[in-house]
Amino acid sequence: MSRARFLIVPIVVLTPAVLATALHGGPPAQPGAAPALAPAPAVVTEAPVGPPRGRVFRGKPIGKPPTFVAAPVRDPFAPRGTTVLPHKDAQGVDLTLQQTIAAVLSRRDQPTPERIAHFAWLGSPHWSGRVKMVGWHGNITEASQTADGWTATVHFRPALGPGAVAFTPDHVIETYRYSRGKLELVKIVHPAGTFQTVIGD
Amino acid sequence: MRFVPAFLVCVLVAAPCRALVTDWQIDHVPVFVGDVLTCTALDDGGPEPVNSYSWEIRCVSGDCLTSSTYWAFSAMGPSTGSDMYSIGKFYVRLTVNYGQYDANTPPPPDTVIEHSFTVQPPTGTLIIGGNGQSTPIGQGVWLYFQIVCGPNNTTAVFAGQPQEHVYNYVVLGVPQSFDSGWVPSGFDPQFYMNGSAQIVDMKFVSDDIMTSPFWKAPIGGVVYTRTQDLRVITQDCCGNQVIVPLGSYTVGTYRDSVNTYYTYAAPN
Repeated sequence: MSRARFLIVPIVVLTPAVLATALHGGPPAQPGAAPALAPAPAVVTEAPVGPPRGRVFRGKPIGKPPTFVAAPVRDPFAPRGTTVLPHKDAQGVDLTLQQTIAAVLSRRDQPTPERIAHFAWLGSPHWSGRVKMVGWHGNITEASQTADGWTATVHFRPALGPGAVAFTPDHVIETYRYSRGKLELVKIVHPAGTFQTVIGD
Repeated sequence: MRFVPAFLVCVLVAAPCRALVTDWQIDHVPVFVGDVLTCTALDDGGPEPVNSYSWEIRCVSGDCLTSSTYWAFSAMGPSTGSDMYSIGKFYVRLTVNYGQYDANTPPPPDTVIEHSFTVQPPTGTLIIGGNGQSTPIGQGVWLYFQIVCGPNNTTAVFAGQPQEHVYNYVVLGVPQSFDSGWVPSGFDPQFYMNGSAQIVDMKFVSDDIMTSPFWKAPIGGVVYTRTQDLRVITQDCCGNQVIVPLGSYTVGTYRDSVNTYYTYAAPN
């Protein structure tokens, strides 16, 4: 019986009224009046930082969990057409011009017979079954505006599958002129001493 | 009779949901994608009983700036934790509803407190495999780039389309005009991201006896070098496309014996 009396004492001490007195100086002066609250901030501020307290209720993730369902395997030997890229260092007006040229030459997608013949070595038994020509890749090295169009020099190589970056140092250099809505191949150069090999990256 | 008072004491001591909530806080910054973030309500220790904590969140990145749509956290309590699987800027609103603590006193009005925080994308990559691995000529070698977050290089929990941009090739000392642009645009069996947020990239040196530059390089010498930049295209919490740069490397391919080579990538 004496133990029970000992345990009842804290109950009395921890009643809400007693706690309010201790923490707020007593209940609100006017019965029925709610305690004043700070209004919600008009501008959302950054959350302060501090450690969690007490039990943390762990919820579902915010956002979609990363899913790594294997994507459908693209046919690594599917035709890719012609891709011509501006020079990586082109800027401003020059970049705008090169983007226009790249779009025109990519859309054209018509390799010259000389270019096709230049890369006949890729049809040798050594390369067949390892790599396959799936399109053309061009890098613009020079471009200039003319009175009625532009001229551009492009290094063309075959696009090779498999792999997004498989290339040969071998290339042809084609110079185009675009004038009054007409595209014309001015010249094609076959550089000597290039490596007729394939690099995969 | 002897057990009743003890039970009451337990109830009073265990009841945590009391007092006016004055603010709330997150447990760490910066917050990176994949982190478990905990939001904790802070109170003044007063007597007011809390009926409920309601945590709501909305994305305010990009196009979502005009959106007022909140969605609720699935766990409600004075502290709630969630995995942050989307990048972007978030607003989180805590609404606390109180009960009566005194028969003569109505419950206080709800407390509404809103703060923002940003979940940041990964910051870079670390090479964790394949670097310097001797490989027979004609075979490929796999490089593994672990996507990491922040100064402590915490492993990222992340998804998206990985891409590489390879340029500045120099083959046996001869600069090359080839520039790959950013590729691939879809799954590539030779360049992809696996389920551990690692970019897996195969390097290949051909063995063609007549023309491969490998045979012309001295043993111990460089066959070719290039610059390789990495990035991932992903989405923020609003579905906007975000491009996350993940570092730039100088990659060298070296001949280390009569018929073997290795690839070594060093961050720029």
